[in-house]
Amino acid sequence: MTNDNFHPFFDESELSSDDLAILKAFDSMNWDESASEPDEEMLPPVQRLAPEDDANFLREMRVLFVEEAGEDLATMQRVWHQLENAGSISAEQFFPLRRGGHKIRGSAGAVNCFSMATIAGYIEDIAEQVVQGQLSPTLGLLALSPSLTALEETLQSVVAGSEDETPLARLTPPLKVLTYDSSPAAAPPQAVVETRPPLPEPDLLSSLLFPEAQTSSTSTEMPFLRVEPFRVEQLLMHSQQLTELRATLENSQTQVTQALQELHRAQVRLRQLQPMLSTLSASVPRSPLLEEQSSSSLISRILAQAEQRGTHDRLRKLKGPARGLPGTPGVVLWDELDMEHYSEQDLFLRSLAEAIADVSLSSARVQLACEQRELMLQQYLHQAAQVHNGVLQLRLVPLRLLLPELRQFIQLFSAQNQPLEFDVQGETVEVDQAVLDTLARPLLQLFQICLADATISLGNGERPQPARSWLHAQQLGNEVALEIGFSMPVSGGALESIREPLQRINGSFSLGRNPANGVSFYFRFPRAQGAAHCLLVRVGSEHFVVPAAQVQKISDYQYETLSMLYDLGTLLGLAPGSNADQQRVHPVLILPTANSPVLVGVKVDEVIDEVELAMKPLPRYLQRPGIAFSATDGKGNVLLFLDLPELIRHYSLYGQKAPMPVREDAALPQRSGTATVLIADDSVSMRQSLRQMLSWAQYNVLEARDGMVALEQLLEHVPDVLLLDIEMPNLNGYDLLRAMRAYPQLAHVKTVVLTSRSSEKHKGQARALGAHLYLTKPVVSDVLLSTIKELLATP
Amino acid sequence: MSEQPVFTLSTSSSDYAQFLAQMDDSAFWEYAGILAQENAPSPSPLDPGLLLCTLEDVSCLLPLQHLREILSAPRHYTLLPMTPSWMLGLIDWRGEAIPVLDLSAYLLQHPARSRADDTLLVTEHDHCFVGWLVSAVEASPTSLLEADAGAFAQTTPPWYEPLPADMITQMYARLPLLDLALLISEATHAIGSVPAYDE
Repeated sequence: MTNDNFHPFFDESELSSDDLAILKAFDSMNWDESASEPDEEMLPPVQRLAPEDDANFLREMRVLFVEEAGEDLATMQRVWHQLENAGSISAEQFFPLRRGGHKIRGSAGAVNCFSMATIAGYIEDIAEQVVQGQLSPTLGLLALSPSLTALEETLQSVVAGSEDETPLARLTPPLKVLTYDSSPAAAPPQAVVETRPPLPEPDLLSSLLFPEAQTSSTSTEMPFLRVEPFRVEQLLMHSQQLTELRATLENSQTQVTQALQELHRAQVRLRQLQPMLSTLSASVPRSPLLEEQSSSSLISRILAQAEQRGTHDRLRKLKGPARGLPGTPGVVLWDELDMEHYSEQDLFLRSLAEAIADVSLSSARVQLACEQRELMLQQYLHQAAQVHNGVLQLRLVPLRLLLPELRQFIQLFSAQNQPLEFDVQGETVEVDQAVLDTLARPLLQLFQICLADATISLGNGERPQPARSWLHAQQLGNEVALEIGFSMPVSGGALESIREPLQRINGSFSLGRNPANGVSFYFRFPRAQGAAHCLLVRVGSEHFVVPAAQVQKISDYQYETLSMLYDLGTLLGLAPGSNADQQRVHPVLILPTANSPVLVGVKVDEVIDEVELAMKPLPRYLQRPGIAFSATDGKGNVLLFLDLPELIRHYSLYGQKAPMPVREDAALPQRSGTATVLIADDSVSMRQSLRQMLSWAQYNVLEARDGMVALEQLLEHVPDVLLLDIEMPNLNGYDLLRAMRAYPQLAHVKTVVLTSRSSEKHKGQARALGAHLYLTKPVVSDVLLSTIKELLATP
Repeated sequence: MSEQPVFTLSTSSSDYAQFLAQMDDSAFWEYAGILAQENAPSPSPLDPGLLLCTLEDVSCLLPLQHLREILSAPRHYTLLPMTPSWMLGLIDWRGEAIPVLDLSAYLLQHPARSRADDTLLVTEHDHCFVGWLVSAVEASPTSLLEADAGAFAQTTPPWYEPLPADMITQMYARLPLLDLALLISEATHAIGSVPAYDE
């Protein structure tokens, strides 16, 4: 380090003792040498593709680049000045600087402006370290100042016709002093002590438990009763168990009813047997025992005559009002005063008749008791539901408890940037405290991340309408639908913080362009934790549950024109069903299409019922792709909850051995023709160079300038390959990969992440989110083309 | 030691007491040490914290400390995709979904078999619950040990020979005492290592 190479801004004589101490601390670290000068891979992506004599193309690209880089640089400078004058700085406010640096870094390399690419790389790295908490925002600002100056000077030289490397040379030594070793082997990041006051940390839990402390929002309401949270939890658990008994009770009721029916059938059979037995006994000769006891034929004859007479007499005596048993049609008549004339058969018949009468009487009484029991059961279940709902309501709080933190942030944002209107609807919608607590921080982070980059679009003065954002909530049965919208482009990366908490509470998300031409995030989640409205389906002998929100309708597959049809048993890796199942008409669960013309169905053997079940997360080691929750049915069996889009995505990535039986549909691209490649990159010059390369290679090419447009293009055209940049507005590359998982029709799209981020962390994250390949910019055209070719050849 | 008096088990207890009383201190402790060496490990008395399990035609011991409940075999298992062949499925145990494994199949790495008269052992280690299906369990190990001693002696090589050495904590009367904590850890790890469909 020599003072001769110092930028004047960092002359040590001008720095305080504290600054010098900080500089000394940084001096002990190493700057990433690899980033200080262009390596051999820093070649333009079209270098081999474009003929060397095609100077016109390069000039055109540079014109585009200079215009684009100028805008990005102006934005970064504006953000830098805003941060310099701000009273407090959060790490999220460095997003625009990171994104600007990333964008210029990627596109500068494509037009042979290596000095600019290197300087922009510095800016991106510094901002990234601030965002990651590895560098104090104040020091980050300090380091960014000479970097932005150097970038501006270099850009001016490019405009003049030749890139000047002097600003880079002048910049590198002081940055070596100011920055750190960004290699993976470096020591773990230490907590940064920020001298400026940080944004206030919301203490949501305490505000939820003791809402009377929130003077502005609840002062006009009745005071709350303080209850120990664990008692509410216990009560909730007991009431939940009470509710879960419903299925068991209903099952028990069904069994009693079935037993009664069997008893009734047995009674009918007995009644049918009785006359047959009577007839039979009349035709059967008398007991041989009596004959054996007779000592002579005379005696036998006398006995036989006496028998005939006796029978006749008995019948004669009993003529008149019949004293048979109820329900027995006068076959067995009985006179208790004439017992000596009855044989054992008569006694047997009499006993049988009495038994039948007893069974009939018992059956009638059980029937009556059963009806009363059913009535009581209904009342009990109704009461249990009331109790459970009442207990659940103990935990309900209005959504407006979210608002103070959000409004505070919006006010801060408006003060530091330009006015931003914030509209709220449905603030009285109530949700479980635990649900709200799970979502409060991620929702605030979503606003912070989205608006961190909105300074770019807000500050250019081109928007005639004031910028708006909104939070609209609506209760839909046991679910809450939440829309968080922005009227302007927003920063990417917003979904990263909210996806996992949303999954924890069994919520779902989608996104789309709103009427204000901005981006809206749509969330749906249960009002209370645990309960979910589901379809109970059968595959073979196994039962599963599917969240009702994942099924648009149920079809018999006779009249639907499906683009993709999956067999649930195949998705789950189950053995084929029985012949009877294979021959029957299978119901097909049609998945929500969003805005896509592609209709996706999942075939099951049977849709059994629509049920409300309490979900519980499976232990981690039992979780499978698309299976993360379970429930228990009335018989005590475990039911697995299926996430159909995730099952399809996983099957498409890993499980497809044979082509699925897919119907022909015009909505799907014809695979036999020219393949379509969608380029999602916010850099115009990068898109241009890639478009030219791919067009020459005979591909159909689509373009998207940001993640939102990319998602719209994906759903509308379903390309074969997606070339995806990471740093993009509205939705960044990771956001888009996350959003794609919700659309099974996109499971077959081969995704290649093409970015200047080269760390293993980014590569791992992209792969985990479903990217097929990861290439680092700048990529040689031959490599990219061969990669695409190989991907397309893969089933 | 050859000079020590020989004492047989047929001698009465009073004679035995007299025999011991005649010894001086050093002879007594030397004799006690020999007896201790000769009788360890002894089939009885068994550690009261052990459970004797029958796995089809072989037996093993399990420590009771990880046992949570003994139940009859479930009538229904919920099939979990992508699981090892020794896993029968999931059952609901006290409101939690737990895996049920055929212990014999797990140890000897063959597909699970389920019989109606099997016994389910619900075990727990480090908050992981696993159900193990065994043919039978014996609450009073001593009697079973005596009854089955002949059968075990005929098993050559012993059935547990293929097991990893660290899976057997100790031998009691030729019966392996299995490290249940290790079994649970390894089994849950294996269940959690989800291979892709085509692997």
